[in-house]
Amino acid sequence: MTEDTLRRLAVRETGNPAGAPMLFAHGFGCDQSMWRFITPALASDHRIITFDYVGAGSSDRSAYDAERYASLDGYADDVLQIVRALDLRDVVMVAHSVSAMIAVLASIAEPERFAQLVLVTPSPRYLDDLPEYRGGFSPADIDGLLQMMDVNAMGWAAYLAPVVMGNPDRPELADDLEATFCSIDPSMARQFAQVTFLADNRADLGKVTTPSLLLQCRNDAVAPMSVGAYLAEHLPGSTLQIIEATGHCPHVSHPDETVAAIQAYLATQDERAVITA
Amino acid sequence: MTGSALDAVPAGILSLAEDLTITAANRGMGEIVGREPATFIGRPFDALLSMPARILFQTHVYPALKADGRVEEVFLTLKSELDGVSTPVLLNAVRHDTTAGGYAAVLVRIQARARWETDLLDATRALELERSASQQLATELAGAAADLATRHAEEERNHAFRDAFIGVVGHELRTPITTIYGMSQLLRRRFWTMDPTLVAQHLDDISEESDRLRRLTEDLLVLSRAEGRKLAVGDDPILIAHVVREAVEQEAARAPDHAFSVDAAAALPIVVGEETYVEQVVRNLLTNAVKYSDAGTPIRVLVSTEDGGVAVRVIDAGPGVSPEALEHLFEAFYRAPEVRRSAAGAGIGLFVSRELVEAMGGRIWAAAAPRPSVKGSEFGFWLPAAVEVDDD
Repeated sequence: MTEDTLRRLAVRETGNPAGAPMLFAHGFGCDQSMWRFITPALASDHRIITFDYVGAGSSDRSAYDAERYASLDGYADDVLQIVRALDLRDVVMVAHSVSAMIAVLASIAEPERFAQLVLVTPSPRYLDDLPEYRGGFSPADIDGLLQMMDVNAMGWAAYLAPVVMGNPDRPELADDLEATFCSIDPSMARQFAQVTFLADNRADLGKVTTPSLLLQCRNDAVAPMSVGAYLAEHLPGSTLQIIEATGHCPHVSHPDETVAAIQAYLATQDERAVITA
Repeated sequence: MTGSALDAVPAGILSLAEDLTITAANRGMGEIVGREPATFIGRPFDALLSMPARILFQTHVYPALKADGRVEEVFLTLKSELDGVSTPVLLNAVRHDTTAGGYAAVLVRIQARARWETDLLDATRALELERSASQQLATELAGAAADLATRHAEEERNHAFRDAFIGVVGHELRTPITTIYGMSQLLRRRFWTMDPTLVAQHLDDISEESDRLRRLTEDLLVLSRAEGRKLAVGDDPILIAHVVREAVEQEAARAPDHAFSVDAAAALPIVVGEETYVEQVVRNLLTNAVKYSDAGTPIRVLVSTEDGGVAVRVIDAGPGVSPEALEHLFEAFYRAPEVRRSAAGAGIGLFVSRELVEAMGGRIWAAAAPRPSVKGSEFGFWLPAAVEVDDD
């Protein structure tokens, strides 16, 4: 079970084995390789755990189950399986994009496992729910995205196919994919997109007891400022930090600022813990 | 870049800073977007994209570009300021090989090709839909066929049941009625001249055949009720040993050539049910034992406490039951091949007994006679003990 979990989700450990555990969950459209810009800077103090969701990177794509991953709960359960498999406590969970809500769900399910959530460009709901909520997207935008993914998949599938179908005769193809950044199975990516962009986790926010850092980018098309403000107001125990960055992936575009923000936040939390103690 | 030879290139050419701000653009780029290049130089690249393309770019393309240093053949759509219709393009981008960083990008408009691709996608999806629809249809058809087959089999069973029923009525009822009719006619005509012992014998025959008729009628009644699944069971407290002893006494009188014995345990629990049903079951088992074993052989009846209830076993020293017959013994109208010729019967006694026992929450079985017997069979049934209720 344990080994199966670690293999299925391609769990990798680096950093300081004696350090506080830091679990990194990649977002929609990428795999665990996206963390490589910031993990080296955190490796001396932390035990670094990264993984790929089923369908991404070098996860076991044959384990993909459309029913299990028809909602974010299936993904949250994967996170909990990793945490249990490695018997992690006091985890600092760093979660990007859609993973932020996956982390929220996981921490609600087993709060005793998590010490801190670092939510990078999170959004509890991508679709607008006007007038009271502005997520940034209309249903037509999501349809357009899915269509565009389908068109791109016609091309992507050409190089993804060997791995998707499994080709034991040509293992070098898998190696090629290892080297390819952010490889995702197109059909799985499509369902992940649907689940992600149609999810509404606003009602879950109030149940969170784990303190959190919200890393918001100044100019993010996917998670606009209005969403960051909403989260800061509705997620109990959250601290909003705005990074002067354009885009949705500050850990890729602005790794130094991102690391600094995480470290500064964790330091203040440690201080607070010391004072409280 | 404008004013250079690149302006003549029929594609959009962009120079992007490390943070993907547009630093230069050729005239072709302006044509694709429908705006002067000066209006978007200094703006972020993704500001040129349609909303869906921005999401795709931010989540998929940018991380790949940043890490691999290049992306190729990415399908995106550009925001159009003019008519609101977005322009499909293919994007190739590569990192500058300079210390300053930044990227060079080419965008090619793919109007006709995009239309074709969209059509292709739509056709694929329509095919997929059609395939799943026909799959569903096939599943439904298979389900309907299975339903029909089940119904057909059920009807066949009903037919067989009715045929067998008519056969039983025809044969099993006719025999005693013929005897009764014949004997009574005979007695009516010759009563005064007939030898009194012969009269007594004929009267015995009539009585015996009437009793057989009566029991058959009772079984048939149960059978017809069981077929309609409405066997009502009373909740009389029943002392099974008593019922068994009475039934054995009656059967022993009827079959004086067999050696009956009853071995009932002391302090048997009381069972709850319909006393006449229990009688009927015991009688059926006893009649079978008599019918299928030779005169002079013993028929033992054991009554014991077992498994929270009472078990009754009727053990004969007959030829026993073949394993093949064991499986079907309790089916309606079943007659074991080995007895079809040697003994008369309707094949309803055991079926009716099972229906009755099960209606009272018990179970019935047939097996080889227990050791040390070397031949013979055991027919038994078990009924649950009454749950004791405090009457205070």
